[in-house]
Amino acid sequence: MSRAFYSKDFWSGLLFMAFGVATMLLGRAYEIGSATSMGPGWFPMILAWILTGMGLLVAVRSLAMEGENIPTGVLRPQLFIVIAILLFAVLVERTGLFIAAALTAAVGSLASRESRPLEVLIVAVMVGLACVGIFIYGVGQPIPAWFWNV
Amino acid sequence: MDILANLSLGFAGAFTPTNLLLCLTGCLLGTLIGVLPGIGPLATIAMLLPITFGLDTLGALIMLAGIYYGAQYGGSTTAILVNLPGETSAAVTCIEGYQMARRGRAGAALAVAALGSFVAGCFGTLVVAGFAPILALFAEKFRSPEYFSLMVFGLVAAVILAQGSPLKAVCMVVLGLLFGLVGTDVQSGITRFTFDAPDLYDGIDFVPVAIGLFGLAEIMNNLEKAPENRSIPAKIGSLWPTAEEAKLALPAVLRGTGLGSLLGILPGGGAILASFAAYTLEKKVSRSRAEFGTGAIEGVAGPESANNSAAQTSFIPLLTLGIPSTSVMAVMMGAMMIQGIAPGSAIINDRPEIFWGIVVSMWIGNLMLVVINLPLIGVWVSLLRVPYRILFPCILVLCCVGTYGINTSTFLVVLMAGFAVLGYVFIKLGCEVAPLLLGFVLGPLMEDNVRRSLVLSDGDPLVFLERPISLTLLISAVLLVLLIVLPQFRRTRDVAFQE
Repeated sequence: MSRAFYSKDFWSGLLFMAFGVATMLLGRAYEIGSATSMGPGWFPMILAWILTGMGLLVAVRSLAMEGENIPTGVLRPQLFIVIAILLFAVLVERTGLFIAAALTAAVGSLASRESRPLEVLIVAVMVGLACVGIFIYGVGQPIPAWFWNV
Repeated sequence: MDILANLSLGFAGAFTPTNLLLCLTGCLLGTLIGVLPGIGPLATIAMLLPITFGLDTLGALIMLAGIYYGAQYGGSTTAILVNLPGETSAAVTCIEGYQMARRGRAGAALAVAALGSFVAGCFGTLVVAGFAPILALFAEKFRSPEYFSLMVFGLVAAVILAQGSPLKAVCMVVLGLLFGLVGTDVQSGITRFTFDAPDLYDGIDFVPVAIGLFGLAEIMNNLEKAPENRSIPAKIGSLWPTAEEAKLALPAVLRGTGLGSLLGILPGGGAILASFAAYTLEKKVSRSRAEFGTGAIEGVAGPESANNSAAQTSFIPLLTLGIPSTSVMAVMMGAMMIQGIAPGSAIINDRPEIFWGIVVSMWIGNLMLVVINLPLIGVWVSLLRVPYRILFPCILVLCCVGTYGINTSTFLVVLMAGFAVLGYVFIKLGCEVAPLLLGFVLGPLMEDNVRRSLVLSDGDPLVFLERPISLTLLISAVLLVLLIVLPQFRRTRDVAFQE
């Protein structure tokens, strides 16, 4: 069991099974129908069964066979990238594109261990200006540019 | 001279100053993003897709063609100069291309790649013009059972050509199909798997899925690597191949073109095979066999040409049958659907100007590449020298603004973040995402065709075996599965992916 804990295939299998089971649970509400008059639940249910079954196979096989281990990762890049994206979603309609883009770039920069404060500041301002220039004045998208446009 | 008449119809629509400018912009932007390490053509197209939304149909498709070629070329540049392939087909270019670069012949390798692609593109365009209408006639015989079996065949091929465990690839396809089903069921009008979020009633939007899974997940993965693992670009040297190199490259280009065109037509991911097959062929027939592995120019010329002609001819199954055979084609299909065009045999007759415009625009994109992009190589290389810590925040913001701009919905941006995390998990677990994307695009189509087939046959599942075309497709799919079970094929496949 301890070996399985590090195995790529074991966790892949579990992930697929989780998706399969979740589909079945969510899909209970949809009518299955019959082959001649298929309900909205028919095709998803079949897929969910296949996914769960295959996932189980992948997971069980990983216990019997020597497989690759999951490479170790660091949390920092994922965390800051996700925060930066969510920040953009929260800000863009409240502060306008310039501030949203600049802050997203700045917070996103923190995902890298190598970023330097002055560089981040310059990149953030440039990215903000470029976005306003390209997407609002260039392509003409209906997005507020500055916070007084909101 | 139907072909000429058709092509001129395409040229008439595509050859306007605005469209040429769009194509040029697309080409430059495509290269700009595609040259970034770790970002393949697929991620590039997905990221730049939103900027084409405001354009008219033909303009958007022409710009996409430019982006596609730019991205492809940018990918080859990174492969040759820093040995970092952005996608599987570029991995083949790395083998000889990087060795050439180390010998100071990077310029020649890049020029041969671009020129070879152009020759291949020209030929591929003619093949599409000649064969697409014929195949479209054939496609009119297709009913739901045939379409279903064709999709099964295509997905099986995608599974076999995916890297890593085929079993996991099957799971990825099925998961993709399920993601594709989210939204309103056309038949009953019931919304499925939407968690009552109105934003999901029309299904999961294609762009955040593609950008999240391919672009952002890759960025997260890149950022984990220590900076010293990223290589410094090699010197370019002269762009002109020597007479000796040209003599070796030309036949390789022609062989690659022929092989690629042929494989690309196959509706089941033949395009992915093209560069591998071409490399193997060159290794067998080359006169300078000893040079392979140390920078043989044929090893760049053949696969690059094959890759390109296959990319061109893989439009045939997409445009006539409406079935994408590679994940890049899946993105193109997504783009067409966003423009309100359902790829399939109907567009040849109903909207010939669009159909031929697409065919011709691919060629224009290719031309643009040789005429304008190749001389700019110095600019692209200097971009490779910009530190990643400066580049990636810019890409990140581009992804956010692009996705938000689709219909100014912050929901899509959040969705993109979710798929980015999922994509990162898949990278860590060694699950390739390309099959998932194909499944995602095909999900609703597949359900629709199963449903119609079974209504047609009164619920008898044997309908798929009783119709000759459908039966042939299913038998081919089974043969493919048998291939992968055979140990001998498996070994070759593993070796191919290792290279």
